[in-house]
Amino acid sequence: MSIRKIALVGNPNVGKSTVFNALTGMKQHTGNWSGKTVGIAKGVLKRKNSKIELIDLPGTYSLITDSAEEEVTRNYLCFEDFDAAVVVCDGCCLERNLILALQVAQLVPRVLICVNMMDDVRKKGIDISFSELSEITGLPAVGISASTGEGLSELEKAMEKLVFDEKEPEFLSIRYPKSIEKAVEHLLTVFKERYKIKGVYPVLGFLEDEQGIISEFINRFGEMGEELKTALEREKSALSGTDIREKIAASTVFRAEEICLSSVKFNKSRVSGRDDKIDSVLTGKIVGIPVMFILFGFIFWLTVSGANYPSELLSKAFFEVGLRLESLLRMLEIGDRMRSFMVDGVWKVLGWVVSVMLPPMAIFFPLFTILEDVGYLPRVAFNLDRGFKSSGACGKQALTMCMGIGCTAVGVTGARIIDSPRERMIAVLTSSFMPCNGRLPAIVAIITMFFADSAVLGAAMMTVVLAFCVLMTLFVSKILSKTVLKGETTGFTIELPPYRIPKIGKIIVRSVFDRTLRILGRAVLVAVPAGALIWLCSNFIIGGRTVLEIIAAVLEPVGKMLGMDGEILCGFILSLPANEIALPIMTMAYTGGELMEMGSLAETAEIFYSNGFTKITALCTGMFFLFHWPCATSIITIYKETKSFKWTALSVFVPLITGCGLCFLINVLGKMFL
Amino acid sequence: MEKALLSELKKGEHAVIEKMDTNGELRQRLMDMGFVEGTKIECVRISPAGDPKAYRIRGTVIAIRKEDAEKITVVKSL
Repeated sequence: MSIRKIALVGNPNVGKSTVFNALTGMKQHTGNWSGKTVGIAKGVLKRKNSKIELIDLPGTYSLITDSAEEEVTRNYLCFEDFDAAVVVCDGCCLERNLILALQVAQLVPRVLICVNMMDDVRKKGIDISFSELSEITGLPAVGISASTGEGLSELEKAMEKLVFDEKEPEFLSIRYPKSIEKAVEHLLTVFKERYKIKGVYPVLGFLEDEQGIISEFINRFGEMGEELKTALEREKSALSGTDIREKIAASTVFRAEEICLSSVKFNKSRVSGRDDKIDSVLTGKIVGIPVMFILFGFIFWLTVSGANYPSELLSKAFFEVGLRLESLLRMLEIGDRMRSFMVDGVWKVLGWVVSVMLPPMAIFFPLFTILEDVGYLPRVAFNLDRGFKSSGACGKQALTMCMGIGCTAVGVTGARIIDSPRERMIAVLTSSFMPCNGRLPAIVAIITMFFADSAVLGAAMMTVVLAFCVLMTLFVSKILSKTVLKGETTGFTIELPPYRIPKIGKIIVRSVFDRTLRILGRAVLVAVPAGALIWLCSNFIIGGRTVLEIIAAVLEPVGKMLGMDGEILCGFILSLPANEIALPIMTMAYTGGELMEMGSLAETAEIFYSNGFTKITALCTGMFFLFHWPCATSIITIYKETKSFKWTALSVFVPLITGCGLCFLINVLGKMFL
Repeated sequence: MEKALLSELKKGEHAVIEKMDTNGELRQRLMDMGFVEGTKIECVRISPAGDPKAYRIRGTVIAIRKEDAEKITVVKSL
């Protein structure tokens, strides 16, 4: 069986990952905003007589780029070995999408234009003539709708034909100004002979003096040979005075316009103007921001009020099973210590994590995914950019912060969508300021236990907490941009995609199975050894005191200063692997590992109160939950992204100092006034 | 034929790009999104704080900040 490789390329947010998932049956994360796919994903499309390996590349507007996210795609297309490329386009804005398609076709000889979102295209009254499109570009073109499955089999056939076609493929050529064409032609002979690079695009990159592509070239082929150097110098001096970049870009853009003029027709449709109406509410001058608060408040309300009951049920179930487990172990004549280790240690922490974490996550994630799919998140960035700008940061940070509500580590990787390295670093250093799903349920629990006696009040408080996190992010971003990350703000462009009606069924399946269960799985993996460790700490006795007591005693003075106590700090420190286990550790530290009904908030509150908890203690604990340090996974991710100990260390200290400062302040002020 | 800066366009006003004085990364990014001289553009949304504004260009809606839009000269169309 023969194997061929096809690269999947496209502008951001054209449904590329949806196409990839539909073809390979895999589950890359998708959503209606630019920049979800940041790494390369590979999958296999099996056909009767062949196998096609699909490579999903991060979305990019152009091959000419210096941004980290788009470089991945550019370097792959310019220098890797593959057989063909499929350029996925959003049919609703084909013209803009064709700009990239034209660039790719000058680089890769076998290119297929795959026009996605055909269902939306029809709704908007847009007519695309595929025969015309194919004719005028000389490239095969297929229309599909990846989310409904329309046209996928045609696409598969076309892809097979594309890679197994015997005919020697040709590069697309675009008419550039004569002088540039001449220079390209001269240089291309050198490239072909010496480096086996056939496409025009790398040559254009060299002419444009694009540092990204040149340094990648040197990486792969070593320093430029004399022949290339002189040829390049000669052509550049022949072109001196021309704005090469501008000329090349304009040629491509106008070619795309030409193609669309003859292959795309816009008719009046019933949905035109719909997006404007929605936008006048969601990004409206007066209502935009309040609506945003109400929207998030509503989501939190559903999460808080909906999570209570299933949480109790789960916790009861775990308790029951725990009792059975204990009698089973008794029957098997397993010793007291061992039994307690398994039931009180491992099982209890596990039960805690599942019953406190699972329900809020299973409610919050699908709701959040709906916002994501509809296309609301870029609007949040649009609404809030002004605030980010005055903090010396980038509006796209709003997007990485939203990702951070899911998982801090995801927010850190997501920061690649921010082009400026300085602004990206700000986003990374403040990434843990948004409560991730490991901390969100804990904060919900603290609010429910100590502050709010109704779901509405709880949701309102949660929204205030979130707003506070956003403000702190902005505030600390501002401090960073005035100190260690000084510099001017750079340009900011963000696309506001058309609204799409989300596919609710798919969202639920996707967010529950792909996200909730995966994250829960990680939490469980950490909870089991953590439960074991905590049990050991609270049962190992040195000099009359348990290890846990000793650690707590050491931490007590620091804890007291920050309005908390030793046990709580101990919980924070031991939950470094995953924040999910912080609350159960604290409870265990207080009870010395005694069995109680797991996850029952009323009982937990009782335990906390009986250990000297006041409103101030609760407030400080909640505050420290918001700002302490990123979990181990996030720290590792930050190191991978920044490749620097210094920045990684700073990403730990920035939230830590913030948290300590706030807790200290609350403690001092609280004691003064209460 | 009234000349203006892109940033001065009010919501609903149409224009044609005449000159781009942006540079560096942003210039490239804008060109990739179809911002080249001679392109039709319309201001479609203004964010709650008045900045950034969003423009429809080549069938897509792109938001850019005031200080960047100030570097783009346009000719207003009626």
